[in-house]
Amino acid sequence: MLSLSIIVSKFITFLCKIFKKNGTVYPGYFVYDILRQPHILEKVKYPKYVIAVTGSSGKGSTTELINHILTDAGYDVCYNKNGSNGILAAMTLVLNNCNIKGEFMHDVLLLECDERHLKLVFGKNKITHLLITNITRDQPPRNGDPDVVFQDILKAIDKDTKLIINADDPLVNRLSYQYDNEKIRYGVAKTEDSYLKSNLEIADFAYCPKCHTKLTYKYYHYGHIGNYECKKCGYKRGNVDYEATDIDFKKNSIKINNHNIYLNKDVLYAVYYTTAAYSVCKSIGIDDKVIEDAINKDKIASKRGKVLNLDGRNITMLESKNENNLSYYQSIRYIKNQKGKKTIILGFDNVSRRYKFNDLSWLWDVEFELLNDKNIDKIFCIGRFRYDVITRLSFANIPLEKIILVDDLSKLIKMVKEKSIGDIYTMVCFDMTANILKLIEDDENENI
Amino acid sequence: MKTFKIAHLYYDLMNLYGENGNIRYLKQALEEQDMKVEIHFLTINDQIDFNKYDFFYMGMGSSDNQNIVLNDILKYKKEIKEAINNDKYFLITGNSLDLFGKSITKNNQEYKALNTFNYFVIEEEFRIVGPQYYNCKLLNNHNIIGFTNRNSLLKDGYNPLFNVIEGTGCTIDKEDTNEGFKEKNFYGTYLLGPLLVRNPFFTDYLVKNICKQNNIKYKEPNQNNFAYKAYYEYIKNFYQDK
Repeated sequence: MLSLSIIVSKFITFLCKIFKKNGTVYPGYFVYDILRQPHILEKVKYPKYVIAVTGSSGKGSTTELINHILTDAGYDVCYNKNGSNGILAAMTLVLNNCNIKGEFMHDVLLLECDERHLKLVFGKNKITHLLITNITRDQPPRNGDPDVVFQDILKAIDKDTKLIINADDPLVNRLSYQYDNEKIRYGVAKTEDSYLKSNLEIADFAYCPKCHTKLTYKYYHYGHIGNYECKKCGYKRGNVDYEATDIDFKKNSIKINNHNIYLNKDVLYAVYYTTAAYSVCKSIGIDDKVIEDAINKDKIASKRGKVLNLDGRNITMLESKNENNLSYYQSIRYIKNQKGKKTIILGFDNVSRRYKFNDLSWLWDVEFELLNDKNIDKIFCIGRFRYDVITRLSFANIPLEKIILVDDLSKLIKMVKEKSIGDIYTMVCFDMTANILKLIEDDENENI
Repeated sequence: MKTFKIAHLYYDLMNLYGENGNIRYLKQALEEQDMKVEIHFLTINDQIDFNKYDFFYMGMGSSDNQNIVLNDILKYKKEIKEAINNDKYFLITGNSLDLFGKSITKNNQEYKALNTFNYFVIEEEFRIVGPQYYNCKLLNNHNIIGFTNRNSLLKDGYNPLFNVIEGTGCTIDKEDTNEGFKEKNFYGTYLLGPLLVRNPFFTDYLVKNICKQNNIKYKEPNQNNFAYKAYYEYIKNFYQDK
């Protein structure tokens, strides 16, 4: 059946190419649903390294960087480049990269994987290295709550799986006492943006997963991520195996265990994906020097944050994930750290592109209070839910005269030009990014 | 001037879905009625004096956090019952509603709950997720919008706060339109998150009653506020002609 599944997957992929259809998911669907082979991947003969990257955020960027380092180090890596990270895409990728005998044909299978799908993709005994970036509130309609996500990840862990975990996240760090597996723990030291008290009095307090006492923090990076300790039972972040220190966003540099490392984006999440990728590569035995060279010399461009121009004003497009308050938090933090006057475009037409549900509660868990800042000139609220967004902003102590409602999106560029000054930052979800790009292009064409 | 005291119960455990929005919006609405408002954030290991407050709020938490809260809140069983009998206000959203029934059954194990009301709760393996559209008999002409994401079903002893127009009520039985629980000034619903922000007319109803209870002359709120526009916009986009 494995050989047949491989042939079918490759054949459907071939057809998708001919008919110019997206072939990332459909071949997998054919094998999974039509051939009814949901467990076929368990029969594949896997290579020595099967690395899975999962977590609520940072999967894509981390996977890119791991691929970059491993490829630079001479490994033949197969990974899901397009970021499609569910079971069907994984099935397509794995089967298409097997020979007819079911042997995987690369040195390394590197898979960015959805937290809830991990258990479906891998039966026991397949993942050799599992990286967990963080577990935060993300798409609750699909994921339930963070506990549900965590329990699902556990189902894919085998006794021989090496765990690479973000120790700054008390929910992920539970693995350090729950499992005897070989582990590497990484984290990020205090930065200039670390804080002890948030504007939102109630969001993201963490309790000790062991004894349910409230954790005491030395500092927070964001959400419940930081340096914590339980005063009652001693559960803590403590010292980690790989730690990012000397974080300097102006120079795009950090140190990891005293090695100077280049940062391809001046934001905290870049520190995390760089440190995570470093730790994973160390865990499979790659030399520090090789990793350093790969990151520092053969720099790769970061995939988010395209910079465009509007009448001499820079436009930075920060894609922010709806239903993920920490994704927004990091965009806000990035904007705050930039110099000069700033204008922000904020809003969405749909909460999710995966489902049609419109849960708006997460707007109240985003710390928009940070946008009450003298350097922020105007905030343009766009999209179908602009009144919900402005209601939230009206509670964030932002003067209302700074907030502009845009009822007709086609007028956005004109309004931004006439009513605001400074560099422009869009803080919107994927669908809106495409709409705004189109508007900017149209505007450029008009001016030619 | 009356100082209205709000207790946000287990604020750091039952806080999955922007629950802070409810209290912030309520505070603003009461201040518009010239009341002085204090919010107290309370959690496990605090000594909660139920006589001290006028209004109690609790939101939605993960199943683990709900367990922690259940262990702590049982010691206030008598005080909570008394507070409700004394017409104090309770707004209870999401799975915190589970705590006020006779029992909660999780993984076939039954845990005793506060026994304030006669219903009991069963946690299922499936989740009930989706937008909700309810009728509320307390309001004239304004339906309730919101969202639910839970795995608990409420059985028996119904005294619904809302009636389902579209969505899911206490049980998954399509004929059963009961949603939430109301008794005296106890308002409970499985709707999650910033219910009061999204339903400004429901908030107005509560505020009006609070004013009456405290002999304060109620002033009609300014409906130009954005929350009303967001409410109308949502109904227009998703439920027009229904």
